[in-house]
Amino acid sequence: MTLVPTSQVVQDRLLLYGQAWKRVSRDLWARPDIREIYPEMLKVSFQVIRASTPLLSLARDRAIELAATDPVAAGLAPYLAQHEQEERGHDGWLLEDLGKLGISEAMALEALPSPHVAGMVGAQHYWVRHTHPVAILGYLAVLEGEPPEEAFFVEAARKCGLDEGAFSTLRYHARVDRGHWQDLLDLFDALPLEPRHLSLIGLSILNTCEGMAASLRPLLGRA
Amino acid sequence: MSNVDTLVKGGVIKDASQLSADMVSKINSLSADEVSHLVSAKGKLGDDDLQGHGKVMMI
Repeated sequence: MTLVPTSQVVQDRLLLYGQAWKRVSRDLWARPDIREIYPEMLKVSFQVIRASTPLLSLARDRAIELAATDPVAAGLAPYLAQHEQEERGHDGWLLEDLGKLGISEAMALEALPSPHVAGMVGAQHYWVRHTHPVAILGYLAVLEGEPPEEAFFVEAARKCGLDEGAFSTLRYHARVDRGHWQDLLDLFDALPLEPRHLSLIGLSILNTCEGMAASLRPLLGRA
Repeated sequence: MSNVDTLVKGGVIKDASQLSADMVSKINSLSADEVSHLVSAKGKLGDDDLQGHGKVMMI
């Protein structure tokens, strides 16, 4: 019997669970009124990304707490500490991008995040605090896995006819997330994950895919 | 009962004959907790999300 690498198991989950979210995203980018929809998409991205650093900090601290007696947490802690630094300040970048679309910081902060965004991020807080911090890897796999090419966003900016600066954060992530994705795949293969960890990661991937699809789907209904 | 059978019974997969052997293998490797959630959350992912559509762009 061939042992499937954990990184492949994770990619299989993304393939199984990621279709709805990707289809919604594809349909949004293909809309003729993408110029009007893009600012709303960016607001959702901001609402998700503003939660990233606090969530990574929480998971890092929980992993450190468990590390003495938990080899998965011990392997996880250094990765989360590094990744928390890598993601720091990106919410501010998105605010700058939104500003280029005429959406002020106050307007972006006043927009209430949907229950889908809150539920998606909130589930991570619950799992990290009360189950195991390894759950966050499923969340990161969805948000950072299989990034599009930067050229996609260059073309999207041209198609939208919007300020190219409003795509800066997405273009940055398209460049660096490829490396982050490989780091994450390497981590999956390095951690001594047991079936219960893999099941938690699977649920985390599933919940995040559902959350992203549900968060973006209402934008398809805009007139 | 295999995961595929459970998901067919739960209405998540409409036509198992449309699944490739590779997809059947992937689905049967899911944990019981994942399968249980898929059945209880039927429709959240969409009607045909386990059938596969190829990779497209994400935000």
